[in-house]
Amino acid sequence: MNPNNFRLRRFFYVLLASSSLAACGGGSGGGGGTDTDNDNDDDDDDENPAIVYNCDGTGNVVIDGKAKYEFVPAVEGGASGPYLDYDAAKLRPIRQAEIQAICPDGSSVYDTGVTDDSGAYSLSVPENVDVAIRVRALTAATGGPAWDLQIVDNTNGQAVWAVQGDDFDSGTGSATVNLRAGSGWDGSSYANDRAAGPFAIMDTIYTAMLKVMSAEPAASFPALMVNWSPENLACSSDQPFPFADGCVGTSFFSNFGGSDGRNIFILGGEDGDTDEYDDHIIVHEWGHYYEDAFARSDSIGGQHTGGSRLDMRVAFGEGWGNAWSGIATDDPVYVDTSGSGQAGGFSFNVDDETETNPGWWNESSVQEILYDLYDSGVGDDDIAALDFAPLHAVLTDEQRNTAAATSIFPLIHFLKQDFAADVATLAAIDAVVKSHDISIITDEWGAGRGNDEADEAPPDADAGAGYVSPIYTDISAAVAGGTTTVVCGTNEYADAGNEYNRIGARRFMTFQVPASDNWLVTLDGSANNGNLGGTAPGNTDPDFFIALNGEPVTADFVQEEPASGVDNSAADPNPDGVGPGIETATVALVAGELYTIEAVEYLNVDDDNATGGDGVCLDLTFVQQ
Amino acid sequence: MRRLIIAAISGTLLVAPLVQPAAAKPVAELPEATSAMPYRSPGKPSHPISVDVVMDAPLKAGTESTGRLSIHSALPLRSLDVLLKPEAGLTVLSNGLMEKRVNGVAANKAVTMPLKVTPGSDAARELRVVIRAVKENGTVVTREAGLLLGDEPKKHSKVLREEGTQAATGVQDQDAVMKAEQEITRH
Repeated sequence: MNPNNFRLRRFFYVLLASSSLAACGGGSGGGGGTDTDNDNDDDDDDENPAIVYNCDGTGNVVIDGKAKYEFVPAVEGGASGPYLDYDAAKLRPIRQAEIQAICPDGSSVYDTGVTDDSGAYSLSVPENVDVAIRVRALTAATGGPAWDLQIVDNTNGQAVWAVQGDDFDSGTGSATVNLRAGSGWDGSSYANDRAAGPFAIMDTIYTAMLKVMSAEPAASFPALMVNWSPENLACSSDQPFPFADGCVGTSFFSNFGGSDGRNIFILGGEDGDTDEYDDHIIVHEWGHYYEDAFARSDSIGGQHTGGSRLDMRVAFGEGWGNAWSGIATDDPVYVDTSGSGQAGGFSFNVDDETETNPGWWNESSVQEILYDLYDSGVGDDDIAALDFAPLHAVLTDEQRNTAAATSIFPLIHFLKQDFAADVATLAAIDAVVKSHDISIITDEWGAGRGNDEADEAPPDADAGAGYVSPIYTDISAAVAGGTTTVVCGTNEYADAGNEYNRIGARRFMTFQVPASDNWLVTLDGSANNGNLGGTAPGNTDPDFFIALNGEPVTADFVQEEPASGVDNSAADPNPDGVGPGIETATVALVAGELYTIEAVEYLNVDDDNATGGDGVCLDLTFVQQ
Repeated sequence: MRRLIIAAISGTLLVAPLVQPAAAKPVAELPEATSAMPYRSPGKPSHPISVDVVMDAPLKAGTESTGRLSIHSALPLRSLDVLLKPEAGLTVLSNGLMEKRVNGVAANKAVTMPLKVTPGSDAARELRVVIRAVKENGTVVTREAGLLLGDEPKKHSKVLREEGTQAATGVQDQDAVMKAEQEITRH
């Protein structure tokens, strides 16, 4: 045997004669000394000898093995509530991750590969070199399917998380090197590296991607960065993206645009809120990525709870996220752990029909409708069993391209269209929808809704008023004729101090223009013809938004003015409806296109739920320029 | 029976109840939300932010022109970061405005800042405005749009929308590396 085979790692003590003498003589004493022995500290005692690795070699040896991570399940927990069950932790394969054989000093990468779905890998390295195996929390594929997913540390320059084993000599024969990324839990706290966290997140997302690929095998997933750190806490950041201080607020998805792109942020603060093992949370947020990348979301966000009467766009977005977490994991129990020792939290079952205030405005209703349409087999409590492919088809095609805003209405309408020849399935879809007090859906606009509770609108506090239905009104005739449309909204359906995204405040209309041209659009609160109980009659701050197939239509300008018409938009002295407001915009509109316009009185969505607003009517006019 | 009537009446189309409700507003009795589901995601940032530029005088080549840039948000914001990217041939002279943070904008949803530009020629030039805004709930929205500044002292405005794609992948020597347990078997 060659005496050089299986050499031990070689340590070279880089010493200078003068530094050795200084060490013997006691050095300069204390901190702030000079690193005269080049051991990367500030003294000369040679206690950290520099390591020189051998990174050059010839020939090849094969190193194979498996990479796994420790998955800690989030359990519902019965009467004691949810918790992370460290005692039930299991090893799972690190699937489809980039894996490298590197020289331990980082100077070279001998070989790069990808783990398979069992975590197995095989790499080739030179003989008789120092080597370490690094697994990166990064997975990418090109062609069909294609994806680009990285789990990064937003508190460290968005560095890709990785785990690395001990370095060793490659020798002259093959070797099996198995790696394990542990949770870091020592029985009472995270005493060690939380190495498994990034891989748990990546694996959960890969599971979600597989579900999409079950419906679209050649799916192309746009790049996504998932930002996780043990320092990610539920605090408010005063730093820009990517919140290097770790104050991310909550786990969330956002498309930051530009070079920042699509990002998910995941909480990681021990004893506060960790989400790396809360797979339903991760899939929920990834569901918003799916909406943004594959489907469409017109959600306006904002505070929401399961019993709220939400703007239909928010109800659908959040209901979809929750339903999707059950669909992707094939587990309807949504668990979010938090608290000291990760021994608290909450859970709910997306397949539970006991929601408060059921209806098309309720995210819990939406989530169960979607889940019921998907699920089948044991535990299925409904007669629909469509699997995911039909839902995916509607979400990524008809609902993505419709003029109507995203809600349960276009989803169901187009799904029924796709099953038009299947009477049994149509009946099953209608039955699922009806089980949440939503009458049969016949179009993407939600036509046919009533104005009292029995007909799917909550009771009106203002006697005789109906600010919810019809959900859309066609005002094309008024636009063509130059007449005024009076639009009334209310904040009556606010709850818990939240009114921003509750029904009734935002009124929707559709219209076409008779000629392609610039159109002056005015929403005027000065007449306020019907301040229906507001505390400060005459105070308004109107806003409107025009969209084409869900995309905002850029206005030449949007400004607010007082009734006098004096331009004060720069300083906006009428910010909160102190006095009557007018909002105008000149918009290039095209004949033949079907636009939507959303009109809202700001006082009805400012979340004060107390002053102003209430039932406010605004005058909407279109004038061809 | 309550009826909702949508009809054109005297040149006015109503998207409202025909019957005007009483002035006194009954208190809405809405049940407390009983679900334990908290707010988990802001979803896609979608709330409109508009930007206006109003110049005090027509722009002339080589001459400093003053005006103001204002940003209006449909929702209250905690802070704004504003970055101006002038097209070649347009010089922005505002002190410190090239990259500016404005805090405390939640009160009035709008901020105004002075603007000084010097165009290199009389031709219209684009001024790109990049905004990163922190909403009251701590989430961040990013918007970018270009305003074409012409030779008239008029208002130039846009509603800002998201643009762009994902950044490149990381570099190996920048990885955040943690220790893995390892088992080696020699063959």
